[in-house]
Amino acid sequence: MPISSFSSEELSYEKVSLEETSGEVLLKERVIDYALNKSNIPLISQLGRSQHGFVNNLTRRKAWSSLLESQLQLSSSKTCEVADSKTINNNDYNDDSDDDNDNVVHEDENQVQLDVKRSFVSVRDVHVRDLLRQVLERVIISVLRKYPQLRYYQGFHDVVSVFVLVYLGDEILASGTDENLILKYDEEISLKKSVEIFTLLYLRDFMMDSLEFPIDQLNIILKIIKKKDIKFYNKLSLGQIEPFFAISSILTIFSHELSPIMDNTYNETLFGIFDLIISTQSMNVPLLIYSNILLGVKDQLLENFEMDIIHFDNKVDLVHAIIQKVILQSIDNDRMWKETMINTRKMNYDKSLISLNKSMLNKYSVLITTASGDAYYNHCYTEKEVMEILRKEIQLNEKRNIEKAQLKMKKSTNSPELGLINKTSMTLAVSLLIGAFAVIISLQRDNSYSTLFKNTGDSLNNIYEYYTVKLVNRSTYVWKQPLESILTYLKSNTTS
Amino acid sequence: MLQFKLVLLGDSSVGKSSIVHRFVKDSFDEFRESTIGAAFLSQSIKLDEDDTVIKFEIWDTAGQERYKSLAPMYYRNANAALVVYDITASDSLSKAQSWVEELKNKVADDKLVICLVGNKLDLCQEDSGKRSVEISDAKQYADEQGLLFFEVSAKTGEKVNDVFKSIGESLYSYKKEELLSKSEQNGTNTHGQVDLQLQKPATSDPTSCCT
Ligand SMILES: Nc1nc2c(ncn2[C@@H]2O[C@H](COP(=O)(O)OP(=O)(O)OP(=O)(O)O)[C@@H](O)[C@H]2O)c(=O)[nH]1
Ligand SMILES: [Mg+2]
Repeated sequence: MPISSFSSEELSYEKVSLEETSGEVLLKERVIDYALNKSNIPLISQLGRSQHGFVNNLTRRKAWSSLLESQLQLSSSKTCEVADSKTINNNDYNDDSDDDNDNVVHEDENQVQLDVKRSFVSVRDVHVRDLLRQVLERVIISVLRKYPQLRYYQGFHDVVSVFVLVYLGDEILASGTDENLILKYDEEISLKKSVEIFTLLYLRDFMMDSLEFPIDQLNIILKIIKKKDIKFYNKLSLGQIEPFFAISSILTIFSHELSPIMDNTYNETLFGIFDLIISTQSMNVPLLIYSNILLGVKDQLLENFEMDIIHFDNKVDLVHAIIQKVILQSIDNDRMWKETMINTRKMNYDKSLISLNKSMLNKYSVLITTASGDAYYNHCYTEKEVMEILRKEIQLNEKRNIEKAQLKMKKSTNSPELGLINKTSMTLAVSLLIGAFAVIISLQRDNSYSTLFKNTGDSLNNIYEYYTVKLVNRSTYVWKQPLESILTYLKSNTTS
Repeated sequence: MLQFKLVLLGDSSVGKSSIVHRFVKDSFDEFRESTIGAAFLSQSIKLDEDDTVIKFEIWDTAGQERYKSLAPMYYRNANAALVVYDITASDSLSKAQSWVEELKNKVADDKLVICLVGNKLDLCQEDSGKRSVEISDAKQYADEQGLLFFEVSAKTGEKVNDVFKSIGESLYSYKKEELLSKSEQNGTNTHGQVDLQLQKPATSDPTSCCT
């Protein structure tokens, strides 16, 4: 390896902390540089997948740009396939100036402002924090305006703030109180571009007009746990619980829980997660990580489960609460993270885990298409391709929303999912049933009592099943009782 | 100890998380992070009456419209709801009203205690021009709907504890009624007294869960 070809300037730029100057990391940094210079995408991605990821932010931002640009060719750039690290900072990407949407305000910009105002809370220096926020806002707004069909979600700002730190953190932190800092234009351009690609290829599912597709993704966590540890799964009744507890970790790729910067120190764990995602081109990674965390803190979870079960009226709240509690407790535990990442790297190659999910997802999901982990560095999407996928996914999501709304209507005006009994609809259901019985009985009037009873019994069972399974599948127990009593009542009447 | 489930609802940035943190940690951060999904916290208070300890299991939800579909899972089985608006933003009151409506439609428990809370009172004390929801309007609405009502400041802490105390008192009195009527039915009530402690298995350590 021609180490002499590296400029010494670049190598000394990044201050590497003492313990990390250990040969391993330094060596890795050089290999990454080598791979970047050669634009060796397979090598870059392999380096990102292994321990320490891309080592530091200087190599990291170059590696992310190289990889992301090798995964999606935006029409405004030509870097795909021949992804060349040298072109990253060139100006052949002309800052969306040809874009008509640039000045049209996106409908979610108000929410963006509310969230940007509350971002980088762990940065103490007011000046630094303001600078970071300004960049954050510019980047988010530029992506949203360019793709008005995407919806902003609270938490997207957390993801983007990770990119802001990787691309401009060094510079902004170093600026201290320099009021006149002018950020390197090129660096901000490549930041925007990386966020744009990452958004389109990795975060698309989260930016639909509803939470349906994100929730599909969350359900995979339960599937993984079920496969890995069925006893634990059953113990926590995970089969009956909607995995909303994971929503913030997954939608923000842990950047809400793991503050990306604390007292001017970057969170390498968090950056390492992004390294792994980008270099495997896989949004399975966050789901695997979350599952591994749960499996890793299994004992604490079970302990808390036993301890708190008397406090809670229902298991859903209990499980939700203890998972939040235990995860928050262990989120700063380095050893837990180390183990989690090692397990995740291993599992990421386990195709059976990933293929297990396909049936649960919409076919345009990032997990099946652009960030499936299958493509690795093989396929470079064109902007046109991705726009087409996006269009279809949005369409499918709209269809799902409509279907869901209709289902809700059908489920009557009250909400059976709340497990509540509304007197009016109960009476209605009961009278419908009695009506149905009357019809059946009248149809079979001519038969003898015994046949009547037998056949009616069968039909009754059918109706019974239809009502319990189809109509009120979520709260059978509420409905079973009255139905059963009607049955008994009817039986005793017919026999007497 | 009695335990109740309480949910916070309201538009983004009205100060739900700030109110919870004032109540639970007695602190205020100018720049609290936005809530994603929902956050769980718990806190106990002692009522003057009978020295009863009430523990709140608190679910603080995210205000952005897109997270609204998760709300039923948090207000399901709730004993109390704190519906928050920002007294310097009139839009947020209509949002609060739609939450009240949803709660009334979807939660069949007529014992659900709903408290309407106007937050950021400190801003209007500094500069009365900032107020965009009149206290009389909100109060009238709350009375019509049978809600508890407070104007508070998470920043200064003004009235925040009163909110939880008054919710706790309402819940306690409902609970007493309920138990009284139950024990009357059972004929076990001898002196009109109720042993509330029997109702929920208590632990010796009130902070054992999730604080
Ligand atoms: N002056 C003043 N500002 C407040 C008060 N309460 C909250 N804020 C500010 O209002 C902003 C939003 O507060 P949050 O508590 O994050 O609001 P939220 O309702 O939890 O918002 P979401 O999590 O987005 O739903 C923050 O910047 C707070 O500093 C208050 O009583 N007075
Ligand atoms: Mg909040």
